Amino acid sequence: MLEWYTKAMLMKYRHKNISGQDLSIEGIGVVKAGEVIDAPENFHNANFEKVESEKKEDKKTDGVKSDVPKK
Amino acid sequence: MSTYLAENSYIAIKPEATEGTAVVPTIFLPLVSENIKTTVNYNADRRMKGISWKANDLLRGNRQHEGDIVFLADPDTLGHLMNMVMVKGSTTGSAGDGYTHPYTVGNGKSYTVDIKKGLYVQRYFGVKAEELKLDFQDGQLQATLVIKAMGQFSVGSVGVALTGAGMTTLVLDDEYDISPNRGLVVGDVININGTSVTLLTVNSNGTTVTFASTAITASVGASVYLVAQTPSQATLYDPLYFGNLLIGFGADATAAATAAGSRSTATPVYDMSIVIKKNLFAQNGSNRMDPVQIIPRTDEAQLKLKQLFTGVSQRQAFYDRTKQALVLKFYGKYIKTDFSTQELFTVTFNNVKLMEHGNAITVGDMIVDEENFEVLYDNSDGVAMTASLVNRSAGTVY
Repeated sequence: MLEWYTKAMLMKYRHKNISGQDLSIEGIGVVKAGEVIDAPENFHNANFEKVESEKKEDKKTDGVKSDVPKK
Repeated sequence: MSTYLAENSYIAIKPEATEGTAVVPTIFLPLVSENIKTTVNYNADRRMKGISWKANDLLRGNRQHEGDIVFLADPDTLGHLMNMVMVKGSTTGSAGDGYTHPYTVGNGKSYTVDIKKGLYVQRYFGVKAEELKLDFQDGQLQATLVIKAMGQFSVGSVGVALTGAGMTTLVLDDEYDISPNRGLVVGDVININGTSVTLLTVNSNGTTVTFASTAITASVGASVYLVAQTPSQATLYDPLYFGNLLIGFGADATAAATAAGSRSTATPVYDMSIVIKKNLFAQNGSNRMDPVQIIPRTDEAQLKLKQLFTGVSQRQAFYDRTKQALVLKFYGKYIKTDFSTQELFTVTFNNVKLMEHGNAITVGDMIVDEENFEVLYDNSDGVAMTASLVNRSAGTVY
């Protein structure tokens, strides 16, 4: 059975480490003080401030969920 | 991610600029355990209603927020704990040399404490230390902090329904408190019936918060909870170790400091615990269902040591109420690259006297002096105890 999913538009935001110290974040690694990183939309940490955003195109499908493979 | 794994939890703290006014915590500390809870003091409504059952509802009482948090005491975490039980003076030093923080007896700072539990965060604000206990577990310095708080925010309910596109305002329900937004801070992320928003304002009317225009549908009573941050971790250092502790006894603080200065003059001990108590008075009154004030009363401290029985001096001091002074130096890793400065936690007790003394004997065991000291105010020095801490955290974080 094939399932086709529609992936949402992925918004990537840039966040700057404003804490004054190097911080480690799971899935990202060590972020130096003052360093800017790309992080997903739901990233939320008071040691970081959002600096700019950029859209990243998704791999959009036709969104049709079907049990029958398309010919 | 499973919401019930304790390992996914974190604790984040920050000193409050104004006692009892919540701030967004930025300092993530590793913890061993915690058991803080809010006691609402519900009582069954026993008013007579002509029914054959005890009660058909609960009535609210005054609230308390209390519990313990257990940490391994690495030098940076220890700085915050000491900041809650004593008064930090002017910090000296630098990142390369290490920072020295002096502490004196007095009213420590209040903190906002966020504890992530599964999906949401339990936030306690106006957190004050009732007691700090330092002891060793498996040779590692462990700190148990007993706290009381002035309030909490974790979960609320929608008071006015949100109806779809373009929502910018949430009015919280007043079932828990008539100021239900208390504890929320601008910049917090809250989840309203499944949709997360970042707070732009927290209204002084006590019920309303605002956020950027968002499509949200939520009926009255829908859940609102404080969303956890993505945790970040500064460099984590080892806790202080029992094997690197030097204890000096002396007739006064100066002699005790000299004795603690080297392994040859320090006194070996085989167990140690320090308890510093603030004797907080958490006052419920008008104006709030939570404590209106949390006021420290007189400070006290006790110290327990175990030494191998080598003489009768401690027994004699116990019977004669002899004043002794103690200095404890907990050494850690070197900070400066030339190995000239290192982590160091120093506690000076200017006047201690034995409250209890014992030499229990058991076949096969060594005879041990079990010593329980009361820490007393010293008239000559004008102080009961002082402390200092050398670590890598700048004084501004405290």
